[in-house]
Amino acid sequence: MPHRFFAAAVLLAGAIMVGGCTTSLSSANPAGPQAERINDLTWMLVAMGTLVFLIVLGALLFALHRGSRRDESASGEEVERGMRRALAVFVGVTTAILLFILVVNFRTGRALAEFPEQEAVVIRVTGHQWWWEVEYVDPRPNRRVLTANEIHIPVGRKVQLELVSRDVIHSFWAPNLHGKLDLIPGYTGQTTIQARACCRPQNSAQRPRYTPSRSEWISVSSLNRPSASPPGTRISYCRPSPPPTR
Amino acid sequence: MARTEHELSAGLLDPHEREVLHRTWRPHEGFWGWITSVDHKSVGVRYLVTAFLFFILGGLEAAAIRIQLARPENQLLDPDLYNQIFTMHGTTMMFLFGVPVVLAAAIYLVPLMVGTRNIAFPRLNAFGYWVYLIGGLFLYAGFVLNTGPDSGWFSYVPLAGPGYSAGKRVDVWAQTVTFTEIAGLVAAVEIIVTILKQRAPGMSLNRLPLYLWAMLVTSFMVVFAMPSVALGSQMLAMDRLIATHFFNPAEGGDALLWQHLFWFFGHPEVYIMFLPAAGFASEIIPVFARRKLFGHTAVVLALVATGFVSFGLWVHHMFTTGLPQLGQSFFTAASLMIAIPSGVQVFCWIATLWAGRPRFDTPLLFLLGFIVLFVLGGITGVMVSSIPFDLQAHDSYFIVAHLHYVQIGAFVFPLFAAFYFWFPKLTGRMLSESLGKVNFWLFFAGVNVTFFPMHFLGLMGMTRRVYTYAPETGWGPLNLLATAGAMMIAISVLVFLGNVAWSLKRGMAAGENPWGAHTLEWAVPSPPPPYNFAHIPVVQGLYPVWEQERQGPPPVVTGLSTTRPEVLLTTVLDAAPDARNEQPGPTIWPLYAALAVGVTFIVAIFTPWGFVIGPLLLAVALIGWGWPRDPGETEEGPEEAEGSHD
Repeated sequence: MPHRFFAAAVLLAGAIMVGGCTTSLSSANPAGPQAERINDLTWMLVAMGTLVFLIVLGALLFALHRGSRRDESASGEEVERGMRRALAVFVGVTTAILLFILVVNFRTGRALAEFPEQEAVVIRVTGHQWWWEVEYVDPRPNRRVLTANEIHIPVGRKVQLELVSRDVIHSFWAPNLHGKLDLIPGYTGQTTIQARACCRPQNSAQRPRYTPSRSEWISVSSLNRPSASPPGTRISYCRPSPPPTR
Repeated sequence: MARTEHELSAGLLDPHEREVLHRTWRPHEGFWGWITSVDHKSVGVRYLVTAFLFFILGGLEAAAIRIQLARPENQLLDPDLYNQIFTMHGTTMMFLFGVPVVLAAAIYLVPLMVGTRNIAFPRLNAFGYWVYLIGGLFLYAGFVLNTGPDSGWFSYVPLAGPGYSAGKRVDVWAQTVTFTEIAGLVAAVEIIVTILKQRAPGMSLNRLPLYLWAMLVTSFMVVFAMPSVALGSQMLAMDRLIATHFFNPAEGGDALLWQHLFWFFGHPEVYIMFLPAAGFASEIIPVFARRKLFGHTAVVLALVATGFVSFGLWVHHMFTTGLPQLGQSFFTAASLMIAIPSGVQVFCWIATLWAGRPRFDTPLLFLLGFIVLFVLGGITGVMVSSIPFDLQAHDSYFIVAHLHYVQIGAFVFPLFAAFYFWFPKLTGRMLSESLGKVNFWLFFAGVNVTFFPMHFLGLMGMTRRVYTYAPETGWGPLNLLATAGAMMIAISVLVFLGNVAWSLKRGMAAGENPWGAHTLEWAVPSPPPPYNFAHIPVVQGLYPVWEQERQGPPPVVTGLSTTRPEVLLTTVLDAAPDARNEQPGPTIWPLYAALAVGVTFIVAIFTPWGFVIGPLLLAVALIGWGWPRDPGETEEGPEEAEGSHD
């Protein structure tokens, strides 16, 4: 049987982990402004969703309780009119909630694209089955650096990523910096990220210590290697050393 | 022309006449009768049974997935087999169970509910079933022979293209999809025509039961959505088999095109499964609330609105592809908007329960479970329609949780409700209520225990389709919990199967109308005779059987031949009698035609000659199919008909 690597890696070959701040892949531990905005939005949506769910559940239980105690079904023009009015109110309230979500959504979407005016570090990431090719783009040839499976980004600097694929569709994901962006053959994905915090090299027994510093670079390691090892096994790290490319 | 006579009701028909009708409509005896039948009830039942068998197979695959993921670094399934199994699970549940079971239920119920004797185009109906069966068997034959598809139920290119999926696995997938799309399209056309042209007189559109509205909208959605994926699957097959380059960017093709074609079908498909389920709920809730449904018009509008808006959502499956922001925003707005018609329906169901006197039998329990799960799945749906959130949740277990809440909650639960509700009509026996309640509570608890933790797994970063994970990810405990829930679901389905087996033998006799329901199928014996209605009733209200109980037997249609299989055609809006149409009797040609289609697609995987051999065989089958009937059997004009009927 041909040993093909699991399809997750093919379609999604990029569960990438940002090093330093946590060993988990959770998007709930943001390390950059964009992941923070998304995290705030997530909690707002969770809170609203929970509230709406509890209200509907309460209405259902109330209706069943009320209904089971009746001797006769409620009918007649009076009842119908009352329920019609309630339906109109329900549609109005639902629409208002959805419009609110829509507006918050757009605001978050805009905020994700907003960055201070500064020169960006440009990194070109090429997805391959089963590795990442990483190129630091710089007009000065001595500063053009090629690496594989590791991305080091300066803390606090704007980093512009160009995402391309040579074979199948991959997806670039650094959960505590930003959401996913696909690498699709024939297209170039463009996104900008920024890391806010970094931490010392760690071992798994210790809680990471946060030492944000402009001089530090944060490291991103590929999780999907062409071995049998599952994603998430490689803990990425942070180097307090000077940036490797500048 | 058909006349109506008040004094003549179904009960007054003399036994001889029933005997004649029976002989006219019954299928042949034995195995031959089984494969030549064009009766919508026998085709519908076998369609249902087949779809349910695929549900069991899909469920077994789900169980294998859950066992594999129960603990970190499990070695039960190797990655290659795991790829095949999750692909088979998705493909089976969506293409071999989801859409087919919806259409199967409609093939059985729609003719009874509109008050006619058979579905429109009955031979096409039989053909559709055979095509579907061949497609399903073909997929599983491939799986057994280590040729099961392995690139996901959506087969994204280029992974599914010739360069990265060698062998025949993806070809098997593409052709299976083509088979099921053909079956879906023909069934949709039959259902549309049956609803629009074969309603009993008096069932004008404003008296159309909500399930029929739901099926009408759904069938139109099938007609518009399925060609998109059928085209896509054929383009994929051509890329793979004869080196076209539709999806190959190196030669000017476009990898993203596949995603558009697939999701333009794939998103409406969710509603193709949900709308009939909502239709079940709108039919069944009034019966158990013992009250007319509140907001009939609002629910009709909600169904139609959902049908339209569901075609404007597909890009929300593609938020991470980097399409332009402004364009994506439109799809966010549409995705949020669809919550309004869904909410209106939920409101109307709850209001009906509030105003009625609910009776907590198993069908209603399943519908209450449906409302709870559907609201939860709908809320997570609103969450993922938000682009920033979706960028994080996309392709994670959060999506797995969301889609299973929607598919199981809003589709499988109403389907079980419908099964408990209509089982007496299909078989003449009631399902056991006590086993039904065990079935419900185990299923409801199981779904929540399985899928609720997956929301957290998704937020913790667990991605879809991984075959295993490392212990230090911390995903182990929640996965174990999910697996325990899956086992609860498995036990509940076993209880259900036991219930069916027991009730078929010893269930209580049902009688015509055990639930006190209101649509026309409850006015005929259980199970219905081959001709459905001895006399076609004239419909006098939105709840015809309840009207009959109040006003006595309805007027009925006379003037249809009893010696030839005739159905009454009525006008589209008012359902006024329009014409009589003679239907074909039992025939083998649909099976031959389906086999010819099977040869075309299956041989084409191995050699392009399939597209030459298959159509030649199909031509033979179609000539047999269309061979003129005996002149004595041809249709007569209305003038002659007046004198000739018995």
